Amino acid sequence: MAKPEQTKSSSPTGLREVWRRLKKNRGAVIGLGIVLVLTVIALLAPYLTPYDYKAQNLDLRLLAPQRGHWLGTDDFGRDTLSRIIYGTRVSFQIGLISVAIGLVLGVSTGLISGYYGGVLDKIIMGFTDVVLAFPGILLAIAVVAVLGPGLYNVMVAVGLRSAPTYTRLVRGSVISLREKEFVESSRAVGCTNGRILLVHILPNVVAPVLVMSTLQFATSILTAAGLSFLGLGAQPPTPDWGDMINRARVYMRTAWWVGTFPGVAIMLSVLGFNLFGDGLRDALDPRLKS
Amino acid sequence: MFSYAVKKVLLAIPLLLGVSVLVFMMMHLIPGDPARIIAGPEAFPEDVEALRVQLGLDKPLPVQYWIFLSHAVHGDFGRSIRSTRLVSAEIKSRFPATVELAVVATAVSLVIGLISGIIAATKQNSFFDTASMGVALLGISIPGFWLGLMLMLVFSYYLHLLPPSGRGGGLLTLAGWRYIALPALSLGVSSAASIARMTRSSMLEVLRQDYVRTARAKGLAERVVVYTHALKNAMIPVVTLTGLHLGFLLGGAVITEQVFAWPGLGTLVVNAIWSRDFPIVQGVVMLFATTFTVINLLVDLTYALFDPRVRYE
Repeated sequence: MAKPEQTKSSSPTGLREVWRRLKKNRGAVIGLGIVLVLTVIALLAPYLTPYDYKAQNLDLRLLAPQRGHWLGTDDFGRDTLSRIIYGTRVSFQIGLISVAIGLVLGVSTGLISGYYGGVLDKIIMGFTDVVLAFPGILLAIAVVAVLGPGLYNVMVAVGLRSAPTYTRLVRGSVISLREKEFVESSRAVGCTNGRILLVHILPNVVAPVLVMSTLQFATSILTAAGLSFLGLGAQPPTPDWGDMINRARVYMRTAWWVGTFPGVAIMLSVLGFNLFGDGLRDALDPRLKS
Repeated sequence: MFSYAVKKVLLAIPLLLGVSVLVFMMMHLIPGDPARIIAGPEAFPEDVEALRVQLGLDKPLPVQYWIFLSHAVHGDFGRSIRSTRLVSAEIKSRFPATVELAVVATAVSLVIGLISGIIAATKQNSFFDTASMGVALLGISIPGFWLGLMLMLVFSYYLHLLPPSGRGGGLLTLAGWRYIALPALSLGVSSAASIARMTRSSMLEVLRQDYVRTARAKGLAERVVVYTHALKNAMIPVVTLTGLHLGFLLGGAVITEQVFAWPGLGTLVVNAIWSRDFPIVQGVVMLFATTFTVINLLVDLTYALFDPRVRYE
């Protein structure tokens, strides 16, 4: 019996081809480089920090960048560089968890909505429309208002906000895949709906979902930083970049370095994931490139 | 066009009803008893019960929702728990400032985005093209609130050119513009960046089309070809994007307002979250979602006006 056809991108030669195209794209390579460096920093944070991120020393308050404290110290005498390095870990945690929440919710509802159609589809799509009617950061703010401020609640809020985007993406792909011959043939040989969805359709939506998750990682870091900046996210002594900027505001005039460097860190990580995500999209589907 | 417009308007109604259900449920999803939270931790049990009856919290949920909805359509979200002023009054005194900021930010992003996008497309692969698209990528990745602080540091504290915070009273005065310049710029940069990218790619696509070649072949000046023939069609996706951004900037203004102490809804809603002033949060969230839905509706209609094919899909 012929095996149901799979898309080319999941075969080994396809992967090699994607990698070859990715390598040729300068932006994607820079993005991948930034992402890799940040990943290493996040994983090895405790070994890389010159000082304990929460060690206070009031004799060393608000030191300008200098030998020993390359990025200066904050109002508690804590080393800014050490806090930024640890903050990478916090940001990655935010990115991973909120992407995971959005991905699981969005992909599952998208699969169901696209495959079964009918009333279920109407309900799910109605719900995503309602969620998308809250502009920008406002849904996250509403969720935090209900759950209360805090880093984990921010992750939930950001994850919920991104779910509808996955739902729409997956639903669109599934609707076009549903009518393909390989799905029909798996139905003919007696596969259950669950098996068709998970074994035959899901692998075909992996590529666009991967691209979206990379870009969503960037958005999550940015949104969470915004919420932390409002004081609704990470609480002290967690070294969160957004929260660091928020607390540095009061003495911005006298000690610019405390608030400036965490912002550079946010910008670099978001840029890295955006570049890599854009490159990945072009490499996975060259037709989309303008 | 008329039937298309009617259909779109009718579709917005269930959407807004859905939004209102979510906003209504906020109050009931918070952990704990809403009446107790509103009454405060030190209230006597009798007062809590009295408040429960007064606010209708003792009635079944569907009845409560109906009451909420019938008040909400009149703009009535009850009273602020903290200030005991009407939520509608609190919102009315601050909404204009937020709208002003979002509109000016959208205008800023449109001007920067369109100009750099068009130049980048007409001079594809030139230095300007590469540089401006690089800057645009940075612009998308930059946190607006941080950019705001940096601008404030440079233009207010170091150069003493612009005031660091507050609102200078309307756009009819010079002071108003001096105060809004930095907030609008820091809020508009990320939108400017995505509008620039969209304008460039849309423009490149249109410039490749046959009718543009015809216009060139019949000897029209390049300026005329680009600005009257190509631009008109290239603008269609940009209009949609700009409309969406106006909505997003309304939401994003919440953060920018905190940076510059701009007296808009952002400051109000953030304080309300901390003091668990739920009627305020509900009112603001409902207002934002409604405004956003109306903007999207207008964008859809504008789109259909520009591109008649849309109406028949």
